[in-house]
Parts: sequence; C-alpha cells; structure tokens
Amino acid sequence: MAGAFEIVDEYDVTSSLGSVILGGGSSGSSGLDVSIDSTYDTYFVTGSGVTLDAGNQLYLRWLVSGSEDLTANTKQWAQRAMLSNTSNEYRWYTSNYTEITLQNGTQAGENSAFILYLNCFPESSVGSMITVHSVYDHYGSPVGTGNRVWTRLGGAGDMTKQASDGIKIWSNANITEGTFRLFGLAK
Amino acid sequence: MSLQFITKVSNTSVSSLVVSDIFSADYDDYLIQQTVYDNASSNNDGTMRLLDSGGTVISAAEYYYAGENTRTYNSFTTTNGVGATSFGYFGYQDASFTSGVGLTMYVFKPYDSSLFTKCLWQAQVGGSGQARWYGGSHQSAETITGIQFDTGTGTVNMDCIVYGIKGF
Repeated sequence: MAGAFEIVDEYDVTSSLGSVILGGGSSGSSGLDVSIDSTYDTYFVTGSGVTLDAGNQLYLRWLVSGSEDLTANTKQWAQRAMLSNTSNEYRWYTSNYTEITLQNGTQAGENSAFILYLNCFPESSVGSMITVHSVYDHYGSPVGTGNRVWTRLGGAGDMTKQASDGIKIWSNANITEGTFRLFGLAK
Repeated sequence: MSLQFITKVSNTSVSSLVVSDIFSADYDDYLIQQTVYDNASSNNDGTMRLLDSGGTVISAAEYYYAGENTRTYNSFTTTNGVGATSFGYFGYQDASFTSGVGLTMYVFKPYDSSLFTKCLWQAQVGGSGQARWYGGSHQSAETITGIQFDTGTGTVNMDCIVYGIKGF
C-alpha cells in the first residue's frame, strides 16, 4: 500500500548488550537477515524505552555491506541540544558516527526515545542522510541526581558516496532495555 | 501496515479536548496529529497533559520539557519546563483567528508502568506564525492511557488523530 509504514526489522533488548544493528543483512541483531536497500526510498526508525546501565550517550554508525564504516572524518553532524535546566547548546562534529542522545540517566523510570528518518542509504552515487529528534532523561551530577530532560534535533550525513545497508546504535555503557524498529515508507 | 489508525476526536468551542483510552498494550509507540486549533475566543497558548490508568488527568508537577520556537516575525526563542504541571507549547492561536495548525507528536511507551513516558512534538502553529520543536518526559513511572489538550485561556475548535506504530 503506497504511503504506508512497513516494518522491516525490529529488535527488543531484553538482556544487556553494547549495541543494536538494524538492517545490515546477517549482521543484524534480529537475525532476520534484512538490509536497507532500494525497496524503499525512505526509512523510518524508532527507539523507545532505551535504558543504560550507566550514565552515557547513544551513538549511531553507518553500515556498509554489513560492517561498521569506521573511516575517520567522513560523517558530519550538527544538532541543537535543548535542555530543560540550562541554556540550549549547539552540537556538531566531524567523525565516524553521530550522536543520538547526549547523556542518559540511570534512575528507575529514566529512558530515552528517538525517531530517525533515513534517506539515500541504498544509493552509491551520494551519501546517506539522517534526521534526528530524540528525548532523554539527562542525569544530574553525580549520576542519579536532578530531574531534567534534554532533547536533540538535527541531522547527520555520510559524506562518502557509498551505499549503506544498515545502522548500528551503540553506547559506551550497556543497553539494558529498549525497542528498536526499522520501517520502510512504501512507494 | 505498521501505522494503524486508532481514533479521531474533535470538538468546537472547547477549552479542553480529552482523548481517552488510546494507549494500550497493543502498541509501544504512537503518532498523533492535530490539524485544527482555530476560532479562538481569546489569545492562548496550548498545553498537554497525560491521563493515568483510571483516565484521570495528571496535574502533578511531573512534566519536564525543552525546546525552541522558530518564529516568522522575530528572533527564535528557547523555552522549557522543570517540574511543570503540563507539557507546554502546543497549539497557539490569536483571538478570532482561523489559520490551521500542523502538529505531529510521537508518544513513546506510555503504557509501560515502569518507564517515564516520552513525547516529541513538532508543530507549525497559526498564532503569529511560528514552528515549535520539543521533547518532554513525564517523570513519574506509571501507566498512561490518554492525553488532554488545554487552551489555558478561552476556547478553540480542536481535533486529535491517533495512530499506533506497530512492529512485528
């Protein structure tokens, strides 16, 4: 059905792990062996109820043929960090990843959620582009103190002209819970 | 199809629009649209609250949010709420004005009693012409079953369209 969201991949974290891969063929966390390809022009990603076992961030890397693209300084991203407890910030960088959240808290109930739109991923003649909107309970200092929420809005792009077949969402802490879904927007 | 229609609620000349029993164990996440926020009896700046498991509106100081208003007529502004009694910066309308509104909101895991419910909302509102980009957290872990939009001042015509985002 044209215009419909169609589920492509999904992974529900029920035991602690460091990353989740959506798409990426056999590298994918779900075991469904699905990839981001030309079936859809645009993909939509949700992450919800994401909790970590330590105060840390969520990041995203692009996958090329099922493997992380770790090439330095090829991913450019710029986002507005909007903060409930202090002045908003500009966040930007050139690296081999993009941030999704900044610092997630760890108190009971705290979690993060996000949406992403993925465009141009299957195309080898251009880079792959992402828009990001996320929200998360930000930890105080020390971790576990203070009630605050932060949100991020912006985008990220792979400046290398190459096809990307998946994304890896990861943290330097462990992801203990969370539901991650990849949808295609039917043509 | 992964985007499933749940309900559309609308009313005219109201100060609140209650949209109850829309969240359930059938979905983790939801997409909500608002296309009408018009015919205001006075200038107002709308808010949104959540409904608890019994359908009662939550008015406790448990709402945290942050965002920006990108305005057509002046510099952009930053606003936030810490321990507020509602999420702020939804529909915004000038008195006796009809310009439409485009509000998209995502609600994440409201039915999970162990998590703080998360919301992301993006809107182009009619009053004076501005867009809004926000994220919020209801920092009390409990089951949420619905939402309520409030004008704060006066009445408007309002609607709300709810979809569930379905996985496998």
